Amino acid sequence: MTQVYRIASATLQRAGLGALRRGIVQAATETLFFRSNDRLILELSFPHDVKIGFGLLETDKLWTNSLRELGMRA
Amino acid sequence: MSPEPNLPAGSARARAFRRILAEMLKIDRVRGGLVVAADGLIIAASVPRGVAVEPLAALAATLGRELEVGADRLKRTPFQAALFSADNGTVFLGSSPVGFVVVLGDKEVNIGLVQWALRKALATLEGAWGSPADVPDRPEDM
Repeated sequence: MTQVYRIASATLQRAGLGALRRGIVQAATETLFFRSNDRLILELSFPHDVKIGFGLLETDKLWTNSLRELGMRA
Repeated sequence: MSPEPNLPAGSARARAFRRILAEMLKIDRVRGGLVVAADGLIIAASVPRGVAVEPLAALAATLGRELEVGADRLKRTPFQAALFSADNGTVFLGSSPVGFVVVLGDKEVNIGLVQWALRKALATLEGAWGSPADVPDRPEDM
């Protein structure tokens, strides 16, 4: 997944959109949600029929809590 | 006699790609889009001024292939669509029988609406090249 992140980052930069912050990958049986900063990547896997809003919310919650646990700023 | 294949031919295909792209570009806050073959060859494109289309197409195709290979490597099911967001916008990527459909949205883009429209576009492509996928009638149902 790190490789996907590297290429996605390059694609966003090339499109003039800035640094990668979050991602969603929808597959046949699961949906993956990502958050990242310049040091960490968080990936959560949900069933494919998860509501996007719910997945984003849960990922954001875990991301915020993880950063707090690690003593990092959001 | 075998039944007529459900394939748009030659210029009809090119028109279909351009039409799909034009539909995506009608969405509010969508700034550009591409239809790119798996090898990075540009099939149709409309990108904002200042964005070099060929490197972007090459990267998008590489990203799409990496998502496919990565899913296989991790014993996951093949990806259908993905999005990646940055501070100033979002890149949407959909996998189709002809390659990848890419949509560029700005930071205010309605992600649910673009995802739904992208799924519809992919279903159209799959319908022309195979069996169409089911897409909900409204973005809210996704």
